Amino acid sequence: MSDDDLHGEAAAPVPEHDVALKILHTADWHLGRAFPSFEARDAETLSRARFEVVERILGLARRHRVDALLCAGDLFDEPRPARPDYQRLADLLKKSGLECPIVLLPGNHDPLVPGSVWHPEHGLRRLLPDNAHVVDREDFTLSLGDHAVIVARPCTSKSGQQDNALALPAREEGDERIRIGMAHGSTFDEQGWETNFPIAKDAAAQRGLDYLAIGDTHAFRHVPPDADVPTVYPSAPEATNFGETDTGYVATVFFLRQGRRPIVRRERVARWTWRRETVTSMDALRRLVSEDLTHTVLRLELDLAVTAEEHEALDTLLETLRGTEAAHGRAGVLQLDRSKVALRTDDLEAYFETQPEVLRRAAARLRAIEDDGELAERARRALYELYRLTREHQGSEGGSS
Amino acid sequence: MPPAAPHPILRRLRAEELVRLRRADEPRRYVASQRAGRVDPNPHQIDAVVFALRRIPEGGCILADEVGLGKTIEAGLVIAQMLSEGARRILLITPKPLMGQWRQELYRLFDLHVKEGKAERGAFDGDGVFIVGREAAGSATIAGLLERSAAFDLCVVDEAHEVFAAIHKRYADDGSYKEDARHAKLAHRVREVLHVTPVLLLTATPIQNSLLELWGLVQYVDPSGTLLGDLPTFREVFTEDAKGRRLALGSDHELRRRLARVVQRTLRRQAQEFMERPFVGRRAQTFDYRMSEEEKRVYDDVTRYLLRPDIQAFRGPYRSLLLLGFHRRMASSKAALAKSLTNVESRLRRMLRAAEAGRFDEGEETAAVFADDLDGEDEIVEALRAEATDEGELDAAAVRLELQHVTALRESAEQLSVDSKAQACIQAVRAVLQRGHAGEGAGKLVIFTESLTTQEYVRDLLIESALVTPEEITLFRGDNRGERATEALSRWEAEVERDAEQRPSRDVAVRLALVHEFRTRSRVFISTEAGAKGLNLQFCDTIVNYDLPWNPQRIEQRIGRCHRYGQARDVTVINFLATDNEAQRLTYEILSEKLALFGHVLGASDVVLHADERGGPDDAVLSAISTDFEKQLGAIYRRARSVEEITAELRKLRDATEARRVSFEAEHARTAQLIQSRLDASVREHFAAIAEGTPEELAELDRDLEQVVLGFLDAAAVPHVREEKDGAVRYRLGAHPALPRGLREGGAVWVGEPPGGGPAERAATLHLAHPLLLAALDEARHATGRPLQVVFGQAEGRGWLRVVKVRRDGLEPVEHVLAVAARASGEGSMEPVSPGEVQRWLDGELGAARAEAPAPPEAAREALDDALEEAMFLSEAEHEEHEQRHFEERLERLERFVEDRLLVLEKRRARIEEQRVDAERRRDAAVAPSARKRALEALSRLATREEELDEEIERLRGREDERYQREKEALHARRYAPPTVETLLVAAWEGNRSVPPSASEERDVR
Repeated sequence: MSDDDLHGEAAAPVPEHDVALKILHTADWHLGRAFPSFEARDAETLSRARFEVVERILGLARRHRVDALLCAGDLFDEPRPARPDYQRLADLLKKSGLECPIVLLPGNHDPLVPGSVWHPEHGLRRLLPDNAHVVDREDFTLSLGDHAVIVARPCTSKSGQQDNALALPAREEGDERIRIGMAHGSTFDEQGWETNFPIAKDAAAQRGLDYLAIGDTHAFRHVPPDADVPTVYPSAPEATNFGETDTGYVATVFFLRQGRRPIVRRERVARWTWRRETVTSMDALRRLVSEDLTHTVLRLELDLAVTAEEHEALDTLLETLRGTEAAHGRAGVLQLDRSKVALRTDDLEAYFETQPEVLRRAAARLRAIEDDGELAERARRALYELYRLTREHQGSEGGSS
Repeated sequence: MPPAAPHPILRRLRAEELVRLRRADEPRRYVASQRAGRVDPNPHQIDAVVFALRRIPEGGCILADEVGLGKTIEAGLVIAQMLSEGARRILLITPKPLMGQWRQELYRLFDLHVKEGKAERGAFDGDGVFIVGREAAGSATIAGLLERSAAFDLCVVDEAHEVFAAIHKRYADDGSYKEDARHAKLAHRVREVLHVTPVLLLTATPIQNSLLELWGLVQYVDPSGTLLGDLPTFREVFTEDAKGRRLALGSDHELRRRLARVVQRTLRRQAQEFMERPFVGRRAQTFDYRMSEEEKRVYDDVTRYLLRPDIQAFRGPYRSLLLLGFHRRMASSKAALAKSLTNVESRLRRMLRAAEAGRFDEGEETAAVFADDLDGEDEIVEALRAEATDEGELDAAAVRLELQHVTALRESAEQLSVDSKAQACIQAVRAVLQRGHAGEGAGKLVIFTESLTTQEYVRDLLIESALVTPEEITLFRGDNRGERATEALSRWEAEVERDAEQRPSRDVAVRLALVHEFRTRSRVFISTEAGAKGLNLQFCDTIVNYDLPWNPQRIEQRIGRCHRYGQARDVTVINFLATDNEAQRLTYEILSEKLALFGHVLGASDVVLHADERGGPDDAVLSAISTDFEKQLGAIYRRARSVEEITAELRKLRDATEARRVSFEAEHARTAQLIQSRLDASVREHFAAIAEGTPEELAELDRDLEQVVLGFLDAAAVPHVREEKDGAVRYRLGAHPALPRGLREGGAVWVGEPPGGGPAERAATLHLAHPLLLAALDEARHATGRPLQVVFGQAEGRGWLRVVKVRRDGLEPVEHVLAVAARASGEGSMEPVSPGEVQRWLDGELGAARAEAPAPPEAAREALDDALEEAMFLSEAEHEEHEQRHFEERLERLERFVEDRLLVLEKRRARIEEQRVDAERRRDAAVAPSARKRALEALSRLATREEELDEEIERLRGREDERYQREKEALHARRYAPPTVETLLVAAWEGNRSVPPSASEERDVR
């Protein structure tokens, strides 16, 4: 007699298999990710945001009183995160007050390899609360009461060509339970998507699942949108890079009974919105600055030519955006590329006309070499500096008089 | 046969749906408060109510609309709404002179009986709306009573900036609160009383002199203290100078954003186009006169007497107070002058006796000299009464000499044959009445004076001049006793206030009655300062200042009686000016030109600078300058020793006031922007949407109210007739024991606004807290208290129904009423029914089976639970989105709380870094070993400090901060609290498409 039979006999008769079941499905936390291209304090903010969003997800799971929290891979950015990072996750899970099972699936970023954080021997395991279940074997199965079961399969390397979803066990004859699958990988037949750990679009149907919880792609997607069995990327709850779209969500899934399509709702949990902006005019920059960017991680590329006078205005605007020693910046986090800011000095001729002789002559000399290919840019800079210093000097004189 | 009542299940569902808690910005919630009052609020008022209701669970907010936009109505709507949602105790703290107006308005517009909290035991016990004067609230006795009474659900503070903003003075430089500081005692006591009560602060000028005051106000409405941080941090991040007069460069945007969370401000120009009666202008008209030689001589003699440094009659601590009072009454009228001189005479006489007897007791006696003529000047009278007595040495000879002089002065004052100002007044009154006859203007006028003597004098004057009959004059003073007042009261009761059960206190009633008399019968309303605050005389368009108070804000308040919300015509302000009295002329010039108090000069072409669109003064300028102005004027009269000196000083004051105004405006321009964060265009768009949507929302509310009430009437078999009258619906009710008190003998209720309804009709308009609605709710609850049976015309099969109220807690809690069902599906098992299907059944026909149902079996309960899970899941999405937005907003605030401190620390760190570089330079340059040693020591100190700072910065960046963690956890706990479910009713159902609903069967069930 198999385990299943025993199980079936032990359970009370439930002829219709009606059961209300709620799960929260998330993936791609990328805890421990560093953001070296940002300034130190911003990098810290962004790293911290990843833990904070986990806290929010746990809160949401509590609020919705879900029956399980499914975390479908790439929870850490790498297989061997620093101790403070995994310790922190364990702390969060422990103090979350959640009593339902929390299923943690290794993804391609944090695969189940020797020494991995998900390995049964790893220190994390001792820190995790009892209701946390690491998918650390290929035949992972977890029953949710008598009416539902979770089947999951981990990534065991950084890359691979096997379909972990198709490798899940198929529904057995007479098994009327709600079956939820978990796998991490890319749905290979979507155009333009990478094919690391491919997942067949109809894997869920083939394996007799009611829902397939997947992770990897950072955008919220139903794959495909109209499938009989929902296969969902819940997105990265906090984006990891510019250019990612539809990030910042989790999926809340409600099952009323086996055989009926579950209802999937996407819920926003992110604090940050990542945005890349190329600005080609001062007006566009002014418009941008006037937007509410408090929750924006902004990469701003300036591609414009400014006159000496505008240059000051540009600096002021950028200060407003970034913040100064005395004031908060308007952008939550700013990454600035001003390598394409060209300086125009043609408006300075008139300016120096009204200046004392010595300045006028210095300016004239600099302008003379502005056409000299190699020295041109330097001359323009020097001319601008001269202009700036003159103005500064006059300003301070004006102020003290 | 009586019409069939809806099935009890439907009655219950509809009633619960009507009263469930909704978000503040759901139209249904704010139109409900409108129905509870008797007002048609403007969009900006609705918007303010939405803002306030959302903020109140968080600690409260500041409503800072510009003057004239009806903050009383906003507060009244909030109070009415909270009361109808279960709040029980509300406290109002207002300036003492405004208490009457508040009581009157809340009664007139919202039917609220406001109890005056007196300094006696139990004064604040029980449920209700209590009002207390600001000074009283801050007094040890009443503050003690308040602290010992049960907590309030809300406290409304009017004119909050005046006293409460000073709370910042009680904070030490390290940010700690000084429990026993000397400053701001009143604010302190009130703060202690309010510690956990949500607060609604009302002020038109939240920013006056210092940003620190604004910080102070915010402390009352942000109990977490995280919005602006502690005082030292706030000062460093947002102000340029320690006193907080200037805003730090580059911090405007950030501060504005934060203030927008707790301050709501609408400008007149934003609200104007949505108001039924737009703002009207204000025009000044001056009646010039010249004093006769005789008058001039008397006035000059008295002035010289008052300027004498050795004056005997005014001595001791009240010397200046009394002198100033005299100066002012002297300028009021001939009669007031003579009366004052008589008082001085008798005082001197007593002093003489006392000097001869060897002791003189001041105190009570001093107060008596002037208190009988000062009305509405409580501060002075109270100061006089309260102060200790002064026993000075008296020089009998000097007193005797002065007595002779004063007697002579009094005699010449009494003998004055002409009163030029009185003649000018008669002229003015004649002109106004004539304009009225010609159909221009209201043909009514309000005359204000500071003196009770003058009040009677002017009345007699007008009667003698035969311009008006005695019946055409209404007198208003602090103590409205006497025959006329009693007469007015009984007439008012007969004509307006028929409902004897709902009588307000006599004080409020007399005020209303006198105003009613003026509106319906008399033409001239002569009022002391007691009427300068708090009366609504917008049906009259002319005000006359018989004399001018020295406090410009008081003048503004006088004008504000007529020039206010609801005035349809331009308001004319009439003043009298003795052209040959230089001092008077200068004072007038300052008030009219520098402060623009009186509006555009009538008939003159010169443009008055600095007047806003209403032609009145700028609120902020006025409130910033007025206190000082009164003080300075006082100082001039106190110090001057000759009439020439007075005029010279007044000239200086005129120029100083101008300079002050200009500099204030320059400073103020930037800070004022801080609380005007909303763009005109988007505000207007928002207001337009409210204005457009409201009538429909109200109609829906009325429809639902009617449905619930009608269901009740039918179910309880209350005899009723529905009548439609001019598009409005009225129910006439017969006597019935099931009706609530007040209606038990029968009566009428209106659904929606009664056409042209008086107060009695409006009181009978159905709203959420109306007794009839509450009775309906009670009945429906009672009728569904035990499991019922129901036949659904649209259903097939049989099963169980459950109706629940889900409370979704969070940052802004709401309640949802959900009906779920389970259907039997073969032997003993049950399946959940989809929410959509249940809704179809409920929309179809419902019939009742005879018996009560047994309790549902286990299988049914489980299936109902599952059905509920689904219904909850499907109904929560919208609320979750709102919650998430609130949550982000609140978290951002908390982040800023830490970032502000980081900013301060990093600045400090940079300064130390500079010092270190400097110390290194000194070390390298040091020749003498001692100098080198000193430099090294300094370096090591700096290095230690740097390390400490680095650690602290590191800690804060990692958000290792106890306060932050605590607030964050509290926020998470609220945001992620699971919903709670309350079962409202359970019923066994049977499906039968052919069974019609049966009224008789239904009644059997009950």
